[in-house]
Amino acid sequence: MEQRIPVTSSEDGAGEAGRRPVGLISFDIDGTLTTGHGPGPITREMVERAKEWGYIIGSCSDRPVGDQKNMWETWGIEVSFTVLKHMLDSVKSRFEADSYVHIGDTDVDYHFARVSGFDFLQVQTMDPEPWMLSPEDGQCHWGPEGRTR
Amino acid sequence: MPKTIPVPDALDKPFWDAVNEKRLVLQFCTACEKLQYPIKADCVHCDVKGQLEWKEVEGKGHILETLVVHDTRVVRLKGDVPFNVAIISLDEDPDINFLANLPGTPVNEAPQGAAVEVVFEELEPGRFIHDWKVVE
Amino acid sequence: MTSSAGGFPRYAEGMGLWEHRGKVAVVGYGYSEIDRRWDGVSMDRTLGAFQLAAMQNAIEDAGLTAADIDGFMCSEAMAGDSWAQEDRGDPRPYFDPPYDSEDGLSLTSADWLIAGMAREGTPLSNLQYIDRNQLAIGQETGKAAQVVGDGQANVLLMTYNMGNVPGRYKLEEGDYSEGARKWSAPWGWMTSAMMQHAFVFMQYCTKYGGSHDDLAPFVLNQRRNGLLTPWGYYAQHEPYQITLEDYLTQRYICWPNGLLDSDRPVNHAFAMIFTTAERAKDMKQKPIYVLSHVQASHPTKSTMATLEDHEAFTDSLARRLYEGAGARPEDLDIFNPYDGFATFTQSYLEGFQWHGVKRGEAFDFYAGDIRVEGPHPFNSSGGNLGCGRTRTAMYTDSIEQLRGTAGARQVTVRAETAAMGQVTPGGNGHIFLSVHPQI
Ligand SMILES: [Mg+2]
Ligand SMILES: [Zn+2]
Repeated sequence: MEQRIPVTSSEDGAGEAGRRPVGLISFDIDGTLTTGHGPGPITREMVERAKEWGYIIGSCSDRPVGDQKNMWETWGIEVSFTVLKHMLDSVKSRFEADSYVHIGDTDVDYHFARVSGFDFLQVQTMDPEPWMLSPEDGQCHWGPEGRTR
Repeated sequence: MPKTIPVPDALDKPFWDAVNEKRLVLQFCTACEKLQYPIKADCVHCDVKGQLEWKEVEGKGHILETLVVHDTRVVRLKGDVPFNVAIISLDEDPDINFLANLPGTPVNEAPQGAAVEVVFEELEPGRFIHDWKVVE
Repeated sequence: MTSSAGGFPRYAEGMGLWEHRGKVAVVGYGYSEIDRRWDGVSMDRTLGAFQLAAMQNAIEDAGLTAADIDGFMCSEAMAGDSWAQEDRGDPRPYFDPPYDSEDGLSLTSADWLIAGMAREGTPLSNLQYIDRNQLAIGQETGKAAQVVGDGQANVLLMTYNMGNVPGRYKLEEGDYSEGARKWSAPWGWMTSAMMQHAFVFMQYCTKYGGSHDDLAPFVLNQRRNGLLTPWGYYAQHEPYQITLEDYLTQRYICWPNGLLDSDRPVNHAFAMIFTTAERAKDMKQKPIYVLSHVQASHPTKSTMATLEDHEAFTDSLARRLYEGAGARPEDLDIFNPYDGFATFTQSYLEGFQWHGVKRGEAFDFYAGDIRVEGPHPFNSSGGNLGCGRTRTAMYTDSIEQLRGTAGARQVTVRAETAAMGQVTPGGNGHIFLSVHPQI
């Protein structure tokens, strides 16, 4: 598996060896995050770590935007964007990043990632990204429902 | 969009044979003098049985309305969204309607009410299917 | 369409008053909990477990015991979409009895339900009449009323479910189309009824003016009514109102039909008890009389039914239901027509001329005050759009409005009669209920 270098935002990285790469991760909710209906395998800890590592994060879901915002508030994570599934392309035009990834569980996720110029990671079959691994034991601890496929 | 290939049966073989010759031939009930499409065993307009003949039609029509498919459960079409699905009425009998993908017309640009004509698309060597195209 | 003088189904025009008008009553109803999907592990939340609970709740609501039931009616057909067509991952693992087959999980047979009632200590020990082949609840309620009216059963328990298991709609089709699909599949026509109704809806907008967004007040109000329905999917699991902006920015599945115009499949079950007006007199609940029931089944004359067809179908439906009940449009207080897709409900509204709404006037009506507390409490149930695709909210709400137990949804206008049904203009069943045995 290709290891990705943890990235920091351009502000944090400035002053070191110039600008360091910035990654953007869009999360589907239902079937992807553990708060979804039904619950997916990606945990709050993983998402929080991705943010700490400097990724620009947010959600892209068929859930109404208000509900997406409520979900992030419940999780206590401030995110950069909450958009409807078919508006993923608006994220690309709003945020300058070196890589754009959408993580989801359905072919609709795949479709909108493809037409919006995002890489797509199928949450049920993807190799764990470095930010998904626990700093304690280096393992990927999926949510309580695990992965079903 | 890759159309599925219709498999003719004994009843509708004359229809598909005609399509393969780039002709549109519908059923015609000599009892009630109505055209019929899709092809069925009995006339849907009257109770008289066994009076269905074949009748070639001109292949001119108008767009009733055009839908745009953005998401589909049909797996083979998932890569082709969005696409048009128009409902066409036949000029010779506006009660007859057909589905169409309107080749050459971008999605969201199909003019409601526009004139269309039948076209025939080759799906496999020698096997055609009818579609409808906006008349310029 | 075959005609029938008396009996079932009631398809024909000019049948006059229903022969059992006011002689059959609804005396109990019950429902289960509700989930978006069965989770594949909770055996107390399967479709079968839910349905047994609904049946027991209906019996309790009626103040009866299982031994009082002598008629049983259900729909053994696959509940919801045909799972066999869907790619739901690997073949389902089965479990210990009674879950050692699909029965009880994505469908329920009469035998499974009857055995389940016995297993749970509430045996239906006196059944004289069993009907397992009902299409859907619209037809089923009419058949139940007819069977009791005809004297084939005295106390009939009727049950219906809509199931949902994990996974997403996914239809694998090969390169070839056979049978009826050869006339639709090549051009990308889905198996769902969504496209048929999107087409007729566009014809409606072309003929009368207006556009998709004119459905917004209706769809938002359906969600509002659903949130006032304590058992409903949204009240239980997603308890927030959708906004106009949510509606206007929704994702389209097949333009002009969006996600929010489509009901959400859920796992849920419902039951209802019919008996004779005579028997109902001294029962626990105030009787709600059946004044009429009718059905419709219209063949499609060409590839697709048109607006003209749907208007003729729903004109006929309304005319026949009113005629059977001896009622006029102004006699109908509570109206809960079907809303599986928001795009076709106006066809019923205008066909029944509820609150004087005529053809082409639905959008103006939707833009007025249709809240439950207002003068035109349209679809006070919230329907499928407000409660999930149970197809039963229109029944629970109608009964509750007529009993005066609808709580936050209780209308402020008169609530003595109700009409409801499903599914679509081309194929449906409807029933007319009243607190009085005649208008
Ligand atoms: Mg998802
Ligand atoms: Zn004929």
